[in-house]
Amino acid sequence: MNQSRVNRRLSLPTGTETLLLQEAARHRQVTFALETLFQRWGYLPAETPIVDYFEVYRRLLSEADTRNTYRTLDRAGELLMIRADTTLFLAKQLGVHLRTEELPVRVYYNEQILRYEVEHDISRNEYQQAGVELVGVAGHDGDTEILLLLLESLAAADAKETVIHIGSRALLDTLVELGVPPDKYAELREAIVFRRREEFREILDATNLAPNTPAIEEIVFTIRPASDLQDVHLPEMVPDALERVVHNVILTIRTVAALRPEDRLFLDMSELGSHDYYTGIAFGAYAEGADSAIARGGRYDRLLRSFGCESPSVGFSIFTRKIPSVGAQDSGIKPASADGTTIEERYQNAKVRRGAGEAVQL
Amino acid sequence: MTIALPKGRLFDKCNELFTAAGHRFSVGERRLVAKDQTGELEAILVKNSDLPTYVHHGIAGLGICGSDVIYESGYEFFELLPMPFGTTRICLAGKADTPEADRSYRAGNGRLRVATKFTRFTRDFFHNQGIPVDIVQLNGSVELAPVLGLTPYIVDLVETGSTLKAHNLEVKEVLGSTRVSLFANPAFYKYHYDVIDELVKRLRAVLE
Repeated sequence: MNQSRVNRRLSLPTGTETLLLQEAARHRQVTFALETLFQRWGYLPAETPIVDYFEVYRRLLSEADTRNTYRTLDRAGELLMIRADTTLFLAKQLGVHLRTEELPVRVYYNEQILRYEVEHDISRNEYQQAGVELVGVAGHDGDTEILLLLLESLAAADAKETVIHIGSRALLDTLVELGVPPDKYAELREAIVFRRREEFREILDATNLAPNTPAIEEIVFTIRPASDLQDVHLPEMVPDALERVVHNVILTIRTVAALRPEDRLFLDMSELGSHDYYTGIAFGAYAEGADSAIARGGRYDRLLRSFGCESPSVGFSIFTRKIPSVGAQDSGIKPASADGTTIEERYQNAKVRRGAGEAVQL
Repeated sequence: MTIALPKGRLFDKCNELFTAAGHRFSVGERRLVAKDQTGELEAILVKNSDLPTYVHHGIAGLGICGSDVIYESGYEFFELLPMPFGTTRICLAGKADTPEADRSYRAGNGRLRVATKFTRFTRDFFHNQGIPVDIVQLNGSVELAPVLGLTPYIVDLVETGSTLKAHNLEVKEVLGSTRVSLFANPAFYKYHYDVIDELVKRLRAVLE
């Protein structure tokens, strides 16, 4: 075999990674802390399949999601997809197996995903995800529970100095209901998410919302800390339906901020969630030193319906490898060496010391 | 906050603007890192084409470079403020004596062969118009490609057109324009939005 091809294969396919020794130990400490916390909140574990039938998910995937999904054929010629989004795979399992009378259901996961990524871009690191799904609790209470759990989770994962920006996917859907043509949906989403005000204005000015554009632009692009939300006045020209969306988010932020005043929460209506299946609240967590969000989540009330279960859902994923402190510290696990000259002596010595809680190598 | 600035002429223009806004960077000879006199901003000086990579990976939270460079990088950023310099056209150019009829790609009668540094832009521009394009990537002196017979056309930035003229080339089609902007890594912006917005406000006041 060509030597350069052999050498090339010493690296991994793009979109995956290896964790070894101290790095892996530190990562496990963090995921252990998260799993312990999830269980204390009454969430039970779920493990999703590594591959599933692509056709089941095709209509739920955006063009970009589809492009970044690894697909393969099974022996019968069925197109399979490798797990690229735990929420989707979990939604199918829950949708198929859950009965309405079992709701609400709280589940957590700690899994790897695989997505295609540009070979020279090592920055994403979203391969390891730990997260939760709360199924069967609609609206404010569900949103509040998930945000509170996210804040406690970030603290448990030693993610210091984080901020949470909270918006709602309903903003985008409402703008379409109010007059933005559906074929402009993706363009409008990009304009909002990437804060391209000129494009945003152009799209709205071409609709019956043109007179409201400055007011809508202000609520979409103004970031407000929770402390400023006690007596917030939205511009008068904001349509009622849109105002309701914003007020729902404000209500949730106020509730969470009152319960956890030490955390930094922001109203940011440009947060729309990373997937098209979101329907309500959407949020991202950011940390000093992280080059992208360290956690994302939101509400997706119509997702389980695709798999036969009519139930609201809300949840989040923490990209555990993106937390700056996880990469920066080692685990602190430093095994000692057993005393003795023979294997028998060393085993006996190690056995005693391990019984006292020490980590000892033979 | 760390800002990535392009080395060379563009740096001088950026530094003039930042100086007027109260942030003057003093860069010694051969030094690639400089703090401003307030200590609030640190600049790293990098090659223009590498600049988006530094911002994408969060080494610098902010950067200033051309939209052409950002487009080629494939990364997504928040554009915060267009700069008053560096605006230019990106054009398809070919030999000045090429008869109009030879440009049959527009009629769908042939493949367009282009040499360029801007491979991503060129592919996307022509493919969006349903025109197949063969691209030869070059990293400099793109004007030589038609002269030496590598490809009949090039896609390149054109300011005055004097370089094209010197090689008996002319603009066949203006494909778009590029602009230099201050931009931010999205996660960095979300974390520091208040400080960044304040900086942008000061810079905008200078520009106005």
